[in-house]
Amino acid sequence: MSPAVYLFTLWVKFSSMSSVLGLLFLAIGVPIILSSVAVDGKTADLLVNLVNGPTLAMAISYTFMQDNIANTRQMNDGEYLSLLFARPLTRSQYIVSKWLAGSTGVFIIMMLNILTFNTAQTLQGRNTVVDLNFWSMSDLILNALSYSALMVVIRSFPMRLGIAVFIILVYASLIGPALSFSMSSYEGAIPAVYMIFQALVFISNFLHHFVFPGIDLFEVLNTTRFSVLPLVTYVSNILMYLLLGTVLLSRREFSYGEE
Amino acid sequence: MSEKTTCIKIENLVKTYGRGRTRALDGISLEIGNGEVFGLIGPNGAGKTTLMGCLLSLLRPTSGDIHIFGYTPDNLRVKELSAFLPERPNFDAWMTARQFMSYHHMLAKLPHKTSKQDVEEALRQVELDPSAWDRRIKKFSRGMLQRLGLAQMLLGDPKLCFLDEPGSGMDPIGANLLRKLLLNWKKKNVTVVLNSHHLDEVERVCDRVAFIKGGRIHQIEELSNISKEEITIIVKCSPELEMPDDVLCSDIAATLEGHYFGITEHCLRFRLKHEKDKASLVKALVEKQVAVEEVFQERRGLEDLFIALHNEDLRR
Repeated sequence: MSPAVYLFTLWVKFSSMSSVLGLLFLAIGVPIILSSVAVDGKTADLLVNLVNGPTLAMAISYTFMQDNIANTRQMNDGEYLSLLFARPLTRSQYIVSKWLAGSTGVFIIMMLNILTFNTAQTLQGRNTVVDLNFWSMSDLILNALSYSALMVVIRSFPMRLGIAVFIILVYASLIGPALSFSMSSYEGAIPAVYMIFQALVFISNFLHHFVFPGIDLFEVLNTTRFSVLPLVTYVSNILMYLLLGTVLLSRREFSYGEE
Repeated sequence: MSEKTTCIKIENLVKTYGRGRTRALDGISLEIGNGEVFGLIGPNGAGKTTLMGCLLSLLRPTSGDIHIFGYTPDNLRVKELSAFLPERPNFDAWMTARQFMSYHHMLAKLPHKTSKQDVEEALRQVELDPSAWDRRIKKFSRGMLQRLGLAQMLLGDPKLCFLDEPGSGMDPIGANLLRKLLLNWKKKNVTVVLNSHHLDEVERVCDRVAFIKGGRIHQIEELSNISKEEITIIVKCSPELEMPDDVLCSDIAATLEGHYFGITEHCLRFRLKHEKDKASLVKALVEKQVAVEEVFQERRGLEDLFIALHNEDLRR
């Protein structure tokens, strides 16, 4: 890991007013809006799932890795990264630094997000939905690490492919559960429409289980029959993403000149 | 190469693009000694930047070997010992010069406690106005960016420097500063690989130059040899009379084992191996009814060599 790249990645996000405002919107604006529309317990649960779920975390992580792993044309990344990789920095160190920086960013913003959501709920006389304790903090950190690992891979793709994959994942994490939640309302609808909805939910669930390596630490450690499988799945998924990111970056050549 | 120990050794380096359709480097073999200032010259698209990219491990060679200080170019030890100035200074525009330098100080894994001192010393050495140190890079002129690029090279006292077109966009003061830095590196026994179109700059600082075209090294010259022996003769002809044709002039040059470069503004340009051939050249021209008006002699420069090699290649 390179401390320089780690600090730079966090720092670059706070270098411009627009970037800071965007992060503040995600950290404070979004939970305030969500809290104001969470009129009953069921909606609040859905919104909490949304806030705690991968969508927001992915969006935050995605923005933290915006200026680098370099598939952005406006940065003339080949020229930009050529100077960086002329320094004593391996591609794997670069990927790991980006991953940790993205995870840190996600953790901070998500924590602010939950605090704001809870505060807003309390002010409106409702029960807080997520308690910030050791277990929820651990989950936040572990989720931040896994979503950022996924974003490292997406950011290593060519730009258009990366955006397409990102949109599909957002669909899987956001639209799918929302559709699933409201499926009961469509049971009386035209069978074809209902089938389409079912198919969409299936695809969403499939993607969700396949790509989001989440873990519930409390359940893993407090269950009567300890199972190592969730931990192995979680760790291997992260390692696979980081390895894939490193391989994709290592395969890239940096041509910086006219030739 | 002289008796100096080898710093860079390149063996039969090939780099192709488009599944082998384009051969950017076509079997380059070269040795550069420690402390040597080595120039890469050649027309656009010759493969100079590709060669530099391979040396910096930014491009993967298709075949062949590169060793720098005995290591492969992607070895971190090589990167710790080397510095690089890219052709286009595309730096983090939102940073100030000082922040950018601190970032590179950290990237270079230099001790944090000397960061402020090292950064300021480097900025001072490239004579960047202190009032610009805390200014955002996006407000910098091209010349200032080049100075900043040079400053980041100075961090950590590199033993090997790669410079790609360092003079472009620099004002005469900047060009003079660049020359000073290059000569200083030379004095400190730092190996320098310089890719430049500014042949006068190359000529002033380089020990040897490689002329690259079509991905191959056509010639490697010691700069000291270029200036000592061969001479350039410029023959001014009367504008009122008909000018001699190129074939005739090339033939005359060939008989004297020299080169004919062509005609510009009634002046014929020749390169001769020996000064004693000068009289024979003029005599041959007069005998062929060429209206010789005046004859000048120039020291043979790198520019002549460049043009001669380029023309030779075209004739082939």
